Amino acid sequence: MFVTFVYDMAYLLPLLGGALLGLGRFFEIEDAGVWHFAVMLLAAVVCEIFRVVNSRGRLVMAVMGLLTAVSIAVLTEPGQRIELYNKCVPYINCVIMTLVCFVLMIFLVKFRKVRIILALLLTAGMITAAIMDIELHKLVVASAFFIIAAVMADIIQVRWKKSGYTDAGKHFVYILPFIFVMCIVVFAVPASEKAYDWGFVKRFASYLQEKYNEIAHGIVLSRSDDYFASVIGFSERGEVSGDSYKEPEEMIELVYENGFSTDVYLSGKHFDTFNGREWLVLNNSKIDDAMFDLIASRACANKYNTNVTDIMRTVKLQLEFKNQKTAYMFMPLKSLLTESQNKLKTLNQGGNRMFEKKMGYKTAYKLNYYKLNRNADNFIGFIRAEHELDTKTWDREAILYRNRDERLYTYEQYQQWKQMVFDWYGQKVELSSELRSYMDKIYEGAEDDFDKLVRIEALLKGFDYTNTPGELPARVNSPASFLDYFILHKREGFCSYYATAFVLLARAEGIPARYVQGYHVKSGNSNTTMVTSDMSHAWPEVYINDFGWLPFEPTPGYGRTVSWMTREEEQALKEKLKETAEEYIHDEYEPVDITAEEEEPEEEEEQETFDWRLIVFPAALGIVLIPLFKIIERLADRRRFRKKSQKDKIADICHRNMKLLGMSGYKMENGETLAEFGKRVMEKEETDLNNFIGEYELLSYSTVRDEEKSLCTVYEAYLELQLLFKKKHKFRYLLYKINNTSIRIRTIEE
Amino acid sequence: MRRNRIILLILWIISLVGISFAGGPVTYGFFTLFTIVPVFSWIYILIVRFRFRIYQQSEARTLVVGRKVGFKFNLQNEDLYAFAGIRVQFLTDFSSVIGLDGNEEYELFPMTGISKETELVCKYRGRYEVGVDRIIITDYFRLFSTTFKNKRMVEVYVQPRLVHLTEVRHANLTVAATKDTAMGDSADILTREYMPGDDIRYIHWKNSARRQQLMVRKTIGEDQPGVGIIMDSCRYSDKPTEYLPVENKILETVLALVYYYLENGIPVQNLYLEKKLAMSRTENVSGYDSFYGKMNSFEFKSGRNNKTLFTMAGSLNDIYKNRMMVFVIHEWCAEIAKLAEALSSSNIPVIIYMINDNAEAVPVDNNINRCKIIRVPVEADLKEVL
Repeated sequence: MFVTFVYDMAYLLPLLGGALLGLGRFFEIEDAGVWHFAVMLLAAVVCEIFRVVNSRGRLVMAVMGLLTAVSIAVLTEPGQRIELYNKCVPYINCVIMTLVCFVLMIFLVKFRKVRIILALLLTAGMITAAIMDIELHKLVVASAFFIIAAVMADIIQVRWKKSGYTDAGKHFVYILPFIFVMCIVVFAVPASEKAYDWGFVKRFASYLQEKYNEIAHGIVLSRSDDYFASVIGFSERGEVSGDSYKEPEEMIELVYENGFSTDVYLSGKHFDTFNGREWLVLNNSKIDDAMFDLIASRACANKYNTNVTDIMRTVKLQLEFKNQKTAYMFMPLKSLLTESQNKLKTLNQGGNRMFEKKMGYKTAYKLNYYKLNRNADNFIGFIRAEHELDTKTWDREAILYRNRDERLYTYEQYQQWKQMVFDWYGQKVELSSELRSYMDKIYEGAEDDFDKLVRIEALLKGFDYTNTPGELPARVNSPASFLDYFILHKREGFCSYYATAFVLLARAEGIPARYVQGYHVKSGNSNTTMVTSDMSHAWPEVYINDFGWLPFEPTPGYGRTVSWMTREEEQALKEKLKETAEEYIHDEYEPVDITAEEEEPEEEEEQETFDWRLIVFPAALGIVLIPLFKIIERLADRRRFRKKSQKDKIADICHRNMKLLGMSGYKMENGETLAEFGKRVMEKEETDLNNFIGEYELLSYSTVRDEEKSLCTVYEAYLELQLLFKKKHKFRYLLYKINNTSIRIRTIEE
Repeated sequence: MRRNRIILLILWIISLVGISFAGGPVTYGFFTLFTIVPVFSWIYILIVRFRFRIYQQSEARTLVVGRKVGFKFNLQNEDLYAFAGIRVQFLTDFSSVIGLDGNEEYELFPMTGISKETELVCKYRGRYEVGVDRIIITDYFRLFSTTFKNKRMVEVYVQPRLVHLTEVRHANLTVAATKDTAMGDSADILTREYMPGDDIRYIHWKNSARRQQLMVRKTIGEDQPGVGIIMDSCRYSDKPTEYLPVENKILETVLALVYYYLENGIPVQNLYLEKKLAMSRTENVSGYDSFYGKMNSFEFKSGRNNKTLFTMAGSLNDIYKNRMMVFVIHEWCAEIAKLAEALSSSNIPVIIYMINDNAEAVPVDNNINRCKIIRVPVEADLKEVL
């Protein structure tokens, strides 16, 4: 009975849950809750008891239920009946749904095919709901899975050949805990509304990709740099001629740590000597050109008696090499290295900051560089001004970079650096007479060297840009011949041509200048920018006395867009905005506070009272009716007994006697005969059962000859066994007396 | 089982695709369900593995080869959930459980068990384990199964059986029982090859001249007619599946032959190796029990070899007193041939029973006079072979 009960409930409960949550809304059950399910559960248990338990108690339960319903209907005032009914409709519907589910459950447990069909329908239904984006409650889904899992287990059990007793229902009941816990887990695990993005898989794949790139680059880029000139777009050899084909490859990743990206020129290598066809680095100086340039610029800016941020602003940058393998450290002008991966060792050679060895994929370092307010009038005025750094001004700035080593960046070393700059980057260039005349016309009216440089820049910007200027003629073999060819004839080329021409023209005016190769990175919308090989570029840098290096951009199509407002300009703009805004403020209307909520009128609280009569009356009725019912039942039983034949009476009493013995703790074992059983009982109890056993044996295996005597004998045993039972279990005896009709027979003496 | 796993894998992959394209309790529910089903199956198997009880018992711990003895085992479920699939496999190398199939699968409901009473038969003599070897547990979805070894083994000691031979084909009882008369060398004189240490007074010059080698008379005095059996005492392998059958058959053959000869009134002298060469003589059937006891407790050892056995046996004068010699061996060696020749030249017939399944182990170029080699397969019925 336990197995049947659990098996039925195992199928019924998911049906109830699914019905309540899935179909409740169609039965006027809004916001299905615990109480609704409790009602359904109660109804289900009652139905199941009716089905499984073979007892007259079922009738009592039915009567009680009916009485309760009748009492409620009778005791409720006519005017309130409809209201009561409306309140009870959801619960009544719950009971109706329970009955429907119960009927369905009966078919489920009886017919395997029905179970399979239901499982398939549930699967199809859920798939349809998923495709059509129909919202389903998790409990409904878990309930459906429970039924599907149960059917799966059932099918497997049926096909499974096992020896001995195998009952599919019992099997299911006793593996139920595992299936139930599985469905609980399904219910409990959070289910996102969005499809899974496989973030960890993507991250892992990305990690593998990075690792592969690292290995691949390590293998591929271990060859000569020159081989990759066309790949990386940056050649350490500074060749000018030829066509420039730049296939975009990711070279360096830039991360701007304090905001969005900005235009930046990443210097890679500086060249000092041009032989007419290519730039060379003949300077062997070990002076740290970048640091002296930085200190000089900062010292000048601080001395200029203006807000330094109007001239230069700090940008924090992080660089990481990708498809790059070089010893040259890519840095913007005016940079200060702050951190390098594993404290990479660097050296200075020929005006270039370099790594001690070639570095490749994943090489990373951080730096701060001072972005110049290049296009601002304020800055140009500052550049044009006379700068002379004395020892005091120099030391005041240099002390910030010395790291407590007084031997670093002294004023004397600064002077040596300046001399080096003039020696290597101020090499005089003699122009041809034709070019000299041409340039003199260009310089006509120039106020100073800076003006000349601006005019040179403007002149070159007026030429055409081309990536395929062709080979340089063989006659071009000196700076002068190059300038003649390019300025007076060719007038087109790519960045290297323009940078070269600018540097040479500047040097022709006695202004130290150098040719720089690197990357021109344009500003973007995020703080991370990938420097690709097609961003490779060449540009000139000019030495401004005591300030340091200043970049120019003579290449057509390239422009410097760096400028920002000075503090004074910002202040002036704010004042103007404030004035403008004040003109449009109106004072006519009072401000309305829209945040205040409207106060709702207070509702009178209704006081609900519970009518205890709904419980007391049916209970009282039950107390009266149930004993009456029992009395009627006993009278009917006794009448039935009296109507039986003698033989049937004997059999009836024998069965009662065996039942009493069973309740007293004595049950016949497998293979035990009646005589052995009786002997076993009598060994432990004082009751003499020999006569009863004898009569029972005759009844069972033979024929009873003297039925009257036999009846008396078994009746006497019946009375004795009742006493025995009473002695052993008083309370259970009481229950036995209540539930069982005692019989009486007239003895022979009577 | 494989089919179920494949189905589960396909469903799991489909659920992976489902959650990649759509969210919600259905797709994630499917994925969760198909992911945890195998997990729970394994948990279930592990729980059953540690909660499962098996009891087995043999009626006797000392058995005899080939004789049936009662055996029962009980599989018990003492928990509140079902053990869905239990399969029991028995040890079959040296014993067999009658009437039970190792492929039968049982289900045990809570607080129930399965009891089986049957019979056990052991095939070989020795001390070994019998009964349930392994238990295979399968989960309720038939996805996975695990096999674990039964730790509560039943060890039995099996005695060799006595095969009662009514006749031995190759043995001539008359020769074995009577004195040797006209055997070719000299009337009434039995001689053998001279061995260093023999008394020169016993040199039989006539036979020596005839045979062109020194021959001495056999011990003069009361002749002791009988059969000598030299038993191979070596263990030829480390694996019980290899050495137990061979040793069993050797002992069985020796016991059967000894009993046969004793039954026919022929004393038997047995030689074998223990720490040194051991010899036991049984005059009649009443002494057989004692001999059986010795053979029962005899241990074959791997350090021994036939070369030593037959060399030492050949040096004994006593063996030349026998009317017939029987060698029961597993492997051939030159010393066996040498001794057989020596015996043959002393007019003592030799029968060699080679307990070996490999026909090539039997030397093909046996041209020793009065020497027969009979191969006895390890699993052969002695009554048919002998």
